[in-house]
Amino acid sequence: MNKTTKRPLNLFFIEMIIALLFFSISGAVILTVFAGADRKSRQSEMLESVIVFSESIAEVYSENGNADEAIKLVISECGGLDENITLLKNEEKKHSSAGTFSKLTLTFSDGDREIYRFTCAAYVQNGGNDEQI
Amino acid sequence: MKNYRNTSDTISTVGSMLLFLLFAVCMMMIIAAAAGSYSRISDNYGTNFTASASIRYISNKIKSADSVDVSQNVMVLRSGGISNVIYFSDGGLYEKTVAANSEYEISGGERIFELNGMEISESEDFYKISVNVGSEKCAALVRKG
Repeated sequence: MNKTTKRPLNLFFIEMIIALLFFSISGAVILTVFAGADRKSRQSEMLESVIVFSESIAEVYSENGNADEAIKLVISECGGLDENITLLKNEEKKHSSAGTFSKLTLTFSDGDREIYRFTCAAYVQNGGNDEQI
Repeated sequence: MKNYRNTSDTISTVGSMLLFLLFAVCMMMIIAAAAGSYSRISDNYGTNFTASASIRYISNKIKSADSVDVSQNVMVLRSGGISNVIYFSDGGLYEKTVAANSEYEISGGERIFELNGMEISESEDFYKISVNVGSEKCAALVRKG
């Protein structure tokens, strides 16, 4: 008699545990995938804003050949970037009797991850506002 | 004996229903999370794409034009014998092509992008284009000449 009452209960709990296990594993996998997709979406948004920002810097830089001024102007006119983004600047200048050729490389990173790197160049004829070599 | 059997059947039925309920609840939770995630990603993508595409569209038009006249929310780009009039009106960016030096009205253009706002201003060396899409504001500078 005892056997007839205990058996379905045991079976039910085993089924319940298996179902819970299955759903918790599926939930964990699916939520990880969703979190990854969300992270990718944020990264893509960040990349898009960085590219538009870079294009503006390139426009200004090709006009005046001064990286600091270009960055300041773009930040004041178009607004800054996300506070987590760091910007590294590398500028090379070559002087000749005709003018100054400058090459600017900007690297945008979010923590350790490099988001975007771009290079632009400018040629300012003598009489430009470049003072340092 | 009959009593035990009845109890066992009831437990079995209730157990099956509980399992089904658990299945339904878990599925609903996962579907809700998926829908929320998808709609957030889709909204972000739409907003970013519209903002950057509209800015690039206008800046490419400016770069390819022979001359550009800017007044508030209206830009006239002349190249060859035609003028392109780009303007913001009624929640959208419109473009219209007219013969150069002819009179034009700010209506009847072709709708290009859905925007919440657009502003084009001019300084000594640059044009500043800023667009609002949803809650996002995006701006860029384009060199003159």
